[in-house]
Amino acid sequence: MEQPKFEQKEFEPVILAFCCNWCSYAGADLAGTSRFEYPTNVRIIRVMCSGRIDPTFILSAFRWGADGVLITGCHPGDCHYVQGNYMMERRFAFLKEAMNQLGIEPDRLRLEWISAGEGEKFAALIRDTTQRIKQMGPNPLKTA
Amino acid sequence: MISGLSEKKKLAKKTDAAIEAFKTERLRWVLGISQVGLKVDEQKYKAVSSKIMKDEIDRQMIMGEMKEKGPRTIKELSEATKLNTKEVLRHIIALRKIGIVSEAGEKEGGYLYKASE
Amino acid sequence: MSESAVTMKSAGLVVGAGVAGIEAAIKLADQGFTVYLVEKNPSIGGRMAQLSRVFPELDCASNVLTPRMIEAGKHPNVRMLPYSEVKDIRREGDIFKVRILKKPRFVDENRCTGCGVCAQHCPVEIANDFDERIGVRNAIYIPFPNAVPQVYTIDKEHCLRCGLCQNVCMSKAVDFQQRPETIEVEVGAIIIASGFNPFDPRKYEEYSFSRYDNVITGLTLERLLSLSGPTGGHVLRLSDGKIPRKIAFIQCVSPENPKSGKMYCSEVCCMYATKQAELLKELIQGADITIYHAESLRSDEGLEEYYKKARTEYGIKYSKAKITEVVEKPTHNLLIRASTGEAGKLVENEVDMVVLSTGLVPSANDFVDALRLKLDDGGFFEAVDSDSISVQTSTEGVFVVGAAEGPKDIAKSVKQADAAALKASAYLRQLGEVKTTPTRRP
Repeated sequence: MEQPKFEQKEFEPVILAFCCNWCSYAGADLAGTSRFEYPTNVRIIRVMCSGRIDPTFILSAFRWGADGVLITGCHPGDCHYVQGNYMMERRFAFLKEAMNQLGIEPDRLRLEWISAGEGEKFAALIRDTTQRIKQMGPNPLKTA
Repeated sequence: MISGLSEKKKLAKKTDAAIEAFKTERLRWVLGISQVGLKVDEQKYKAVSSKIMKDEIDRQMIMGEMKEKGPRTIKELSEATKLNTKEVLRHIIALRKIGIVSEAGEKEGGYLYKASE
Repeated sequence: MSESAVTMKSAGLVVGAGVAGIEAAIKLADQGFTVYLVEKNPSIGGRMAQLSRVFPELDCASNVLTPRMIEAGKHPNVRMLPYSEVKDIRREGDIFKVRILKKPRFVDENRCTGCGVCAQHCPVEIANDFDERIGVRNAIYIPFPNAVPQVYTIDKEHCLRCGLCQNVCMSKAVDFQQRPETIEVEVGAIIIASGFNPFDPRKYEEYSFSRYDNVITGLTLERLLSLSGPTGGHVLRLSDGKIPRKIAFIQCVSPENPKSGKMYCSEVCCMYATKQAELLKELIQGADITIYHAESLRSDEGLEEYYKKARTEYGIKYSKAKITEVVEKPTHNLLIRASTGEAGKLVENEVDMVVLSTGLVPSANDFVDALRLKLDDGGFFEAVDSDSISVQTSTEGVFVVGAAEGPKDIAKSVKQADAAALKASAYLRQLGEVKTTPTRRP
């Protein structure tokens, strides 16, 4: 479909959200069944635990054009695998530093804890994240 | 827009280097010890681990350059990676010690270095 | 190790295991005496292990030194105590009671095979002192490839306690619980061979040593020239890796005598600078080398011939001048300003690299006061006998050899070590109670 050249198309970010199976994915499900609305910019990837997320996944996401990456997991102390979310927290600090070194805005990466009962919080999080990333503009590594 | 394209290319290369760096045992192990409990104080760990991460990313960039373009001088590596020549030399010395870089002749008043087979 | 089987009067202590200490220990041990060879570094070998090639034949230093190191290590009468320091010496009659601190390596030396897998995995990287901080090592390390003993050491200050070395060690040699050990020995004679440190050239601000990357010391150049060094024997500038072609040596970088205000002559610098200049001429095509000396070149047996050969066969230039300033240009080249002594005459020379031929200063010792040993104005242990090779200190039964007695070259140090071993042996025999026989060497 041809876009007329004078029309400014609004930037719609692509946001990857990693959600852990036990807490945050269930929270996302609840948001859905409760009909809390959130933008379609987000692509959810379910993992068993936020601790399963390798730093290379996040860097690859940015490498191949994701405008934002959101990581959600169980609240500290509630991890189904006990320590996984703590590990993710440690990795997160490293990744922020790596992004700084590379020259990608560190705020494109975000980490939040969502429990299975926090459907509304999940929706609000997606709305807020989408808004922030929109303001930041497209990922410099975005392919056309 | 040519400069924009080459800026993107440079960032892509650097990100590729970062991905490779996070695959190395060295960086993964250092990151890992913070996840299972540190036996040294937090500040010392932070300083050392930040340096290791920076070094590994820079070294992957240097290796990437040599693998892509063949034997390079320190000056050429410095221009391609935007690291200053003193830094590049320090990395070459370290990479040489573990055997993944070796000399490959002379060019323009400096030595050529290549990724060892 | 049962020490009660050895009577103190048939035992000697050698402090420092550089080339002189090793020689003295072997020679004394050959005479049948038990010798405690104490060395503060993880390996024996001392400063000579850092050298590339040695004057005058330009033999490879480690080719000459390594066999001696191995011999000292496996001599039946030598008790090698590496990574240890002499903390206290008390005299009781004829006996010296020595307290030695054995520092913890955190590696069990009986289990470590020296395979090096631990260092391959250690994530911590540090600039290593052996390579004058140009090269790198890990937190678990061996100071140089042919170290004796071939045992790794963990540098506690930089270790992250990550445990990867412990995981990969197939001999289960890593032991984080290791503690320092105190060893008490009794000996009849002591030979001090504690060596030297290079003089810190920052004392002379005009040479801009710590300011500019391309102003280096002679010892750093040795590491660059070494085939086993950080650059594999390729000499390059530390600012940008370029091959230096115009090189200037600045001699007479030694401390001043506080009493006379005159500079000490460290004896070996003119010779080693000439040696290095010759090696550079062979290594770098079109090398243009000038050796600047504020005082007259040291003249000694054979040296005049050596300088002449350097001038005529190698084209090395000598210039009697006092360097007043070293300034860096944007290219990282260095501009040298010198005064030749003629009224108002200043010369300028732009070079790629400057080498400061630093002199020798004594290395620190904890036990000097304990023995009440006399030091000379330069801080070196004074030899008070008037023999042609003097080794006797102001205290009976205590001898001094090598650079610890004053700056000297390797050949002189070895001769002194032989003399001291002989004198110590004679001294021990006249103390009586010698329960040993000379050991036959294969």
